[in-house]
Amino acid sequence: MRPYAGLGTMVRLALRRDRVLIPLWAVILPAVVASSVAATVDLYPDLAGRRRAALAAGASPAARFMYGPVHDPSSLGGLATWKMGTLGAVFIAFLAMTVVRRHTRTDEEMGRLELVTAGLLGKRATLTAGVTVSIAAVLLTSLLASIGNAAVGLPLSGSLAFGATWAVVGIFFTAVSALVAQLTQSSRACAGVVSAVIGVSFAMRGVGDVSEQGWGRALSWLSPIGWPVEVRAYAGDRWWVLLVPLLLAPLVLVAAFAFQDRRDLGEGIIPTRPGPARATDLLSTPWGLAWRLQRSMLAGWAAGVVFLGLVLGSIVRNVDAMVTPETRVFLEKLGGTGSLVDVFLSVEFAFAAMAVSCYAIAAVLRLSSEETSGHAEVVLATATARRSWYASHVVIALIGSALLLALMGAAAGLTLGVQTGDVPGTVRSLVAAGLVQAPAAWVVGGLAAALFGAARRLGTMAWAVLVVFLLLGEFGELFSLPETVMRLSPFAHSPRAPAEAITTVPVLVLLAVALALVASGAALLRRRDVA
Amino acid sequence: MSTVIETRGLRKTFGTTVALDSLDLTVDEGEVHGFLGPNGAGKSTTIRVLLGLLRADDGSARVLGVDPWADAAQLHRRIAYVPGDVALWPNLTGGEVIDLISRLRGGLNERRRADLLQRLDLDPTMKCRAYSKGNRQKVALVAALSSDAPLLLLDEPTAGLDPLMDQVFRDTLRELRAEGRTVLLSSHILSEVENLSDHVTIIRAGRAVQTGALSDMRHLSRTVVDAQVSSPAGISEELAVVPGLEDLLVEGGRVRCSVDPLGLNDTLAVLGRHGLTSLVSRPPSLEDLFLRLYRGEQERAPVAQAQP
Repeated sequence: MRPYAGLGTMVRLALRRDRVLIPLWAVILPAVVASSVAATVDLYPDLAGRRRAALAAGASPAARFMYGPVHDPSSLGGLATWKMGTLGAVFIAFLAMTVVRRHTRTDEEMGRLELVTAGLLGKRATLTAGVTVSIAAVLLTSLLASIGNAAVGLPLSGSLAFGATWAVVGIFFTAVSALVAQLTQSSRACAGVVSAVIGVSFAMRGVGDVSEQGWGRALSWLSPIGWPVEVRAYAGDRWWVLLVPLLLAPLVLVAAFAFQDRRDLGEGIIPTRPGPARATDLLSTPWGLAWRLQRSMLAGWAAGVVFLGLVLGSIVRNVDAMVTPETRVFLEKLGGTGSLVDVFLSVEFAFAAMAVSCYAIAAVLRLSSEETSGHAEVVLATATARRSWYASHVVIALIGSALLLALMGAAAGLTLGVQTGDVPGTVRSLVAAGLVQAPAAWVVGGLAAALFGAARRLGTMAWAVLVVFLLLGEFGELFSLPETVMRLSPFAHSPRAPAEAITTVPVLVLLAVALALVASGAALLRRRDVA
Repeated sequence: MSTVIETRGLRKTFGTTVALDSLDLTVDEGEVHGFLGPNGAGKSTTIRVLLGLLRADDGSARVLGVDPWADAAQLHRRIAYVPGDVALWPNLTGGEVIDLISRLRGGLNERRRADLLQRLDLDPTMKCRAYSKGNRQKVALVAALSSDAPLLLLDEPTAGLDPLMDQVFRDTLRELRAEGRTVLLSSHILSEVENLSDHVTIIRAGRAVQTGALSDMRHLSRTVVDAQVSSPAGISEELAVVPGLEDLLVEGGRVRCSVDPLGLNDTLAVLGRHGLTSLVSRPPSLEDLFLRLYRGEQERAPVAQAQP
């Protein structure tokens, strides 16, 4: 049979299934960029104001870690798209992963692929269809971003370069996702591995952009999320940088197809091995089962935050040396009274709280996938009460979130403490700084739990709410939103430790909200149909 | 003898779809109760309501004396369940899943577990991801059949089993019945339940259309005859007077009819006189039954006219 037979049908099927997902991303991402550009123009009408803002933004190491440097302080486009250049690249990478995974490994795991491959379908048709649809989604989003930016008044050439950076990141991660989908056996593992690649790329770029020169600088160039920053859209438009991902992506795709050609349907690259004939004592309660199902995801995240913590702790001391005396005065005015190191760390912990919220949502929504797959029915037909089943996953998600934040603090405290000579003290203070962020993550996890309790399909809405919280935090000030709206986000309430003192009232309020959400989820779940 | 399952006027809708429409179901202690109906009739929905997984919109359900919606977890200690579509955790082995389900329910009969694994020829060290549909079914069956639960709810348990394994299942079910357990056995194939069940309830479109002891249901013991004769002249007239013979259709040398046990001997005699060359006889399918039940509900005449 021809390897691509049925490709057209598979592409149409994928488009039909993604008819909401893709247009939503393709409209929202460019809309966020264009509207933040418009808001920047309103906020800084004259060149002098823009220069001041750009210099301040580019000088803060914490901001450079998150978004990259501002290459040309006099460029309006550079300042206006500064945050969304990097954040957008991350979002695009996740879009590519979502689309490719849905139509390849997830379908295969669910047995749906077997249904269609048994028809007149070539061996390569499904993977090609997933890749094609993902690239189409990426190109559409990027093109709309270019058009949007040009439409709100930015130079055309820079706008095209900006869109192109998103496009190549999307294409590169389409290829990476296609490859990983061949290697991992479960859709969940595929998401975990690709997310880890995105996370590590982001961190490498962060370190590279904080380091002015030397080995650290090279990390930026090794990171797929670093390439868009190096293109310098609106500040020189270095088009040739795009060649790096454009040359690498086909190589990764070739590898993906080579692996696919050599494996059986349903298998990963490592074949399934037999396991124990009897269950251990762990698998005797719903808690033991939930732990068994959740532990590998928690372990993956733990490795990620420890890595991030170690990196942050080791680079944070360089931050002090980098900054000129004038910027220091300016920054301390902006970021409170703490030292620069503390300001940097508190920004990173706030960022970690949002990342860990993703873990919290994913861990809570394991309930949802257990219900969809029919596993919940098996458990709930035993003497397991609904509330125990619910609690087993939710409690692991909440304790896991706190653990991840504490681990990141401990890891950062370790590498920073070695440099300052006070390991126990630094570890203690940074573990506290991490833990104080946990209640905000718990609110997000609790929200996912409450939504799931109300109805299974509502659970995924928690992701949308998290994106709104994130946008409020990133762009709320730019849009001069009222204080009350900005404070809807739980992250706005967390104390900015270690730069600021840890205050108990906001933490307790967040804690109470989280508990109320978790409890209402349990009450709602008791009232609805399951399975 | 006490009642183990009793539902009255059970109603369940999903959006605009009516899944159960005033369903009455009574299952007595110690019986194997066949729960028959075509796909989509509401069998699985009923079982899920009996398990307290779904909440009925109207009507009442009592299982082992309690309301399943109010008291699900406690009730489940006394129920073993095999879902219609067995979904298992891909990264656990079959053996682990059997132990897990049993422990969550509250224990299992070790001897029977080992015995069933061997008789069903199931490898418990395989990951569930690698099992076929039939093997996943076996995992759920071993977990349910090796329990000491007094009530078993089996939702199309033999779908996906090969005939050899089907026989093992039947033997085990007879053992359980001898122990006095109660079984609700759903199926869309009549012949699957008729050898095992004492009582049957037939449902269609969410409603019980017939219930009772199998021996009381004469239409279930009918035989559908499909024969070929060499000299068909006059056979229609001769067969028309055979008592208990219906649905007669003669096309050239081909004769089809359904006949109850009283008329079977006469039917075969008539066929023999006309030079029988081939004969297929089978029990009526569920579809045949529904056809007859419908005819009972409506007028007989218009349907009869449609016959040649």
